[in-house]
Amino acid sequence: MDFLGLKLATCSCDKSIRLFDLNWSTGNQTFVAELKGHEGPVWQLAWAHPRYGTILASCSYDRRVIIWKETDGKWEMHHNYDGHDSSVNSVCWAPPEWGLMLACGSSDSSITVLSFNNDRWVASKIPNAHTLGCNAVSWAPVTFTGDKPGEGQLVKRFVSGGCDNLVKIWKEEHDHWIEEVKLEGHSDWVRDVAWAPTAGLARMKIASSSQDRRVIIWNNREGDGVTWTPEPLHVFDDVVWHVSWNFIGDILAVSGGDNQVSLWKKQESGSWECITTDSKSQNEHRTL
Amino acid sequence: MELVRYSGQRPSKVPKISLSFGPNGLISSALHNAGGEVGDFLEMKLESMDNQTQLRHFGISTIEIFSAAQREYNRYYPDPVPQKLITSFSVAYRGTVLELVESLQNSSASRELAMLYSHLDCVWHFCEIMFISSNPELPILPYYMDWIKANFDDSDEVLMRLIPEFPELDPEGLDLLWKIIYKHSFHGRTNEAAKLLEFTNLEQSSVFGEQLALMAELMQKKPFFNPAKNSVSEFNTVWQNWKEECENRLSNLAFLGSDQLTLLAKVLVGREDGFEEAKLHISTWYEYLSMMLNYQYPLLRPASLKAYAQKGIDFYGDFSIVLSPLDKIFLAAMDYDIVTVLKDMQTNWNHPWFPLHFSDLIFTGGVYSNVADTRIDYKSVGPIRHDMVREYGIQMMQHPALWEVGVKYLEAIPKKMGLPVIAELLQRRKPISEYEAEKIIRIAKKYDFKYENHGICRELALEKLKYGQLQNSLLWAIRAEDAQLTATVIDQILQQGKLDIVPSLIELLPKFTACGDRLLFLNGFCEFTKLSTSGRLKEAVELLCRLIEQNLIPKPIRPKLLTSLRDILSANDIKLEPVEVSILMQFLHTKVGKEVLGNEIFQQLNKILVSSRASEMLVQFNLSKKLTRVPVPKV
Repeated sequence: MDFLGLKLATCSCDKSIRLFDLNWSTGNQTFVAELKGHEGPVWQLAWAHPRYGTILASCSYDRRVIIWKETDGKWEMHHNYDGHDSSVNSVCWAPPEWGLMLACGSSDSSITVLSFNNDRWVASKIPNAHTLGCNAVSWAPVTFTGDKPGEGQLVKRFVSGGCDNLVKIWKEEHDHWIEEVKLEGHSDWVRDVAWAPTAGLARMKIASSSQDRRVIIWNNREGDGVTWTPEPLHVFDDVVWHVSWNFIGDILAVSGGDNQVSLWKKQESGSWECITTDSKSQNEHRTL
Repeated sequence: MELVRYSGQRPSKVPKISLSFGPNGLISSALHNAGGEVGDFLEMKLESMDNQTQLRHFGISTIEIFSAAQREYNRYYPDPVPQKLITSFSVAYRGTVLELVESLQNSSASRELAMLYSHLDCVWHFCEIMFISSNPELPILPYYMDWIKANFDDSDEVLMRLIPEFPELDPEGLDLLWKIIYKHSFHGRTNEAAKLLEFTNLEQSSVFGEQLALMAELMQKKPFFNPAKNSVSEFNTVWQNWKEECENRLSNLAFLGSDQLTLLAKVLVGREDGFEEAKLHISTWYEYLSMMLNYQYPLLRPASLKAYAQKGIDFYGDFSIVLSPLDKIFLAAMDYDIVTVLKDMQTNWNHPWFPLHFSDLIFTGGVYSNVADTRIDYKSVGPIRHDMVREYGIQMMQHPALWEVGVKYLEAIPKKMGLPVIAELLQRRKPISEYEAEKIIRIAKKYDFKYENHGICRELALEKLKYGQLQNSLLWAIRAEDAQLTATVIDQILQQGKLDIVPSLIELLPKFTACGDRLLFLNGFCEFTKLSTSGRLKEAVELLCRLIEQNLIPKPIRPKLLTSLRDILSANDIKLEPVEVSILMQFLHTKVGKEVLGNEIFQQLNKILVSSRASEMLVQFNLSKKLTRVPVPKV
C-alpha cells in the first residue's frame, strides 16, 4: 500500500504488477493499470515517498530492479537496473530525508544501493553481503536529534537478512557501505527484516523472521545503533515469511506459512503479546 | 522427502500473505493463490473503545480538562502550582467519569462498561486522596469517609424508597432501615444514623424509645477532629471522654433487650467482638477499615494507613482473604507506590486513560507544586506520563473524528517525543473536507512542517484535479508551492478554454507569482480581462504587449487572446504606440500565424495593425512636411 493508503500494488509469479485505487469508505478497489516489464516472478514492491511523485520499485527473479513512475496518469519505466547476477529478492526505499534511495538485496549475495542524484541513478554495491544470498532489506528511520523534525542524524543505516542465517546492519561511511553489526540468533535462513519507525523515541528495534519459525525483536535501547539485545517474540507453527511494523513502530504484524496473520504489541508487563481485533476479547482482558 | 530450498524464491504452491499498514492503523493482507491471481483484501483494524458515542464524548470532555490543566501549569510556571488547583483538576476528571457511568447505565448494552468505569472512578478517588488531596500531617479519616460514602453506600437510594412508607414500615422495610442505620454507623456517619433511629420504634414502646434516644445522643456526640478548632490533645480528651461514656452505657446494659442497639454500642466503643458481628452487615474490608478508623484510630495519618489496612484485611477475611487486583492497587497506593499503581491500572484496565491523566497530575505535583510529598517517586512518574500520553495521543490521532484530540495530547509531551509523531501521523491523514484540510495545514504550519504542509496541499490539488475542479485544484497547487503541478493545472484550465477565474482566486494570484511562468501569465491574463471589462482598453493592450514581450503566453491561449484583441481594436478607437504595433505584428505573424488563428481573424487583425502603422507613418510624414515648409532665411 502507498503512503496515504490510496493505492495498492500487487506483484505475482506471472511477472506482472497490478495497481489498484482503494476506496476505504466503500470497501472497493478499482483496477488501474498492469505493469509489464519483468521476465520472471516479481518478488517485492515498494512505494517511494509521495514527495517524489508516484514512484514504485519492483524486484524480480529476472535479476532486475525496475523503477516505475506515473506521469499524467500513465505509468512508465523510469529506470531499469540489471547489475545483479541472480534473483533480486527485496527492495526498500530509504527515508525520504535521504532523497530517492533504494536498497536491493539479491541471491547473488550482494546488496545494491541505488541513488538518484543529478538526474541519474547511481549504484553502490556491497559484494558478499550474505553468503548464499540476501533475502530482505529494511532502512533505519532518521532519528531526530533536534527539537524539530528535520534536525536529524547524518548516518544512513539499513538492515539486511540472508541465507547465512544472519541479520546485518550496514552503515554508510565516506560514501561506502560497511558492515556495522552482525546479529546472530536465527538457526535458519532469515526471510524478512523490518526496522521499526521510532517516531521521536531514542530506542530502536528491528524485527527479523526466519525459516526457523522464530521472530526475534532486536532492541537497541541506547539508540546508538551498535548494542543490540535479542528478544524472542514467539515460535510459530511454520516458517515466518514477513514482518511489518505500523508507522509508529509499536505494533508488529507477522505472517507465515501457517496462513495466519497476527499482530503483536509490547505490554506494560514487558512481554510481547498477540493482540486481537475482537473487542469482546479486549473487554475480557480487563480484570477490574 | 528432501526439503527444497529456493534461492530467493518462495515455493509457488504455498499461499503467501503480504502485509501493509495503512495510514489509519489498518493492515491489509492479500492472499495469492498459485495461479498468481489476487485474492481478497482483508482489512484488520483494532476496535477502539472510542467508537461509542458516550465514550467519544468522554474523550472530548477529558481533553478539555487536560488542556486546561496544561495551560494552568504553563501559566504558573516557574512558580509552583497550588495543590488546590491540581486537586480541582482531579475532581473534574472524576466528574467526567461519573457522567460517563451514568450515561452508560442508561443503555442496557453498556452496563458492563458502566461498571468498569465505576471501578475506575473508585480507584481514582482513592488515589486522589493518597497522592493529591490529603494533608500528610492531618488525619485521613474525613477523606476516607467521603470515599466510602461515594463508593460503598447505596443507602440514600434505599431510603428514598422507604420514606413514603414512614412511619408504618412492614418487617421487610424495618429490616432495610436497620441495614441503613448500620451502614451509616459503620461508615462513621453517626448523625445521619441517629436521625433514623426513632423510625425503628414501630410499636412505640416507651422503653425502646428511651434506648433509641440514648443511642441517638451518643451518636450525635461522636467527636470529629477539626484542626481549625482543636488541637490533637484537645481532641484526644474529648474522644476519650466520649468513649468512656459509650463504654459505661454498654456496661450498664443500657441497651439490654435490643440486639441492634447493643451491636451499635459495641461498635461505637470500638470492641473487636462488635466489629466481628458487624462483618455480617458489611461487604468489603474497606468498610471494616472504616470502622477501625472511626472507632479506634480517628487520628490516623495517611502514611500509617497501610498497616491498619492489612490488619483490617486479616480480621475481615479471617486471615484467608484473597486480594483482588483492585485491593492490590489500593494497598500500593497506601504505600505511595505510584509506579505500581499506574502500571497495575494499565495492565488491568488495558487502556492508558487512567495512568495517563493521573500521572500527569502527579508529574505536575512533583515538578511544579510546592507541596511535593517526599514519599512519592516523582522521578519515575515523568517517563511513565510521557509514554502514556504519547500512546494515547497516537491512538487518538488515528481516530477519524478525534484526531485533533490526539494532537493536543502529543503537544503536551517533550517536543522530541511529540512532534515527530504528529508529523508522521499528520502527513498520512487524508482530510475528508477542505475544512479539515485547513485544520491539518494550520497544525503543520504551527510546527513548521514544510514537507507535510506541501504534501497535504499537493494531495488535495491532485484530488481536485482528478474530479475536474480545476480552479480549486489550482488554489491547492499554489498553496503547495508546487510549480510543476501548478503549471499542469493551469494548462488544463487553458485547454478547457474557460478562463473565467473566480474573483477570490484572482485576488490570491499576485501573492503566489513565485510559482512559475504559468502563474505569472494567469495573473497577467486575469488583469487583462479586468482592464478590458472595465473599459481601460489602452492599459489592457499595454499589458498584453508586456506579456508577449516576456514570452509568457502559452501556445493554446494565443488564438483566443488575439481574437479578444481584434474585438477590442475593431470596436474601439485606440491609438496604438509604434512599439506596440511592432510587438503585436511580430506576435501575429511569427508566433501564431494564419493557420492557427484562422484566415478571417488573422486578416482583420492584420488590417487593423497595418492601418495603425500607416496612420502613424502618415502623421510622421505630415509632421516632417510641416517642418520642411518653414522658410529658411536666405543668406
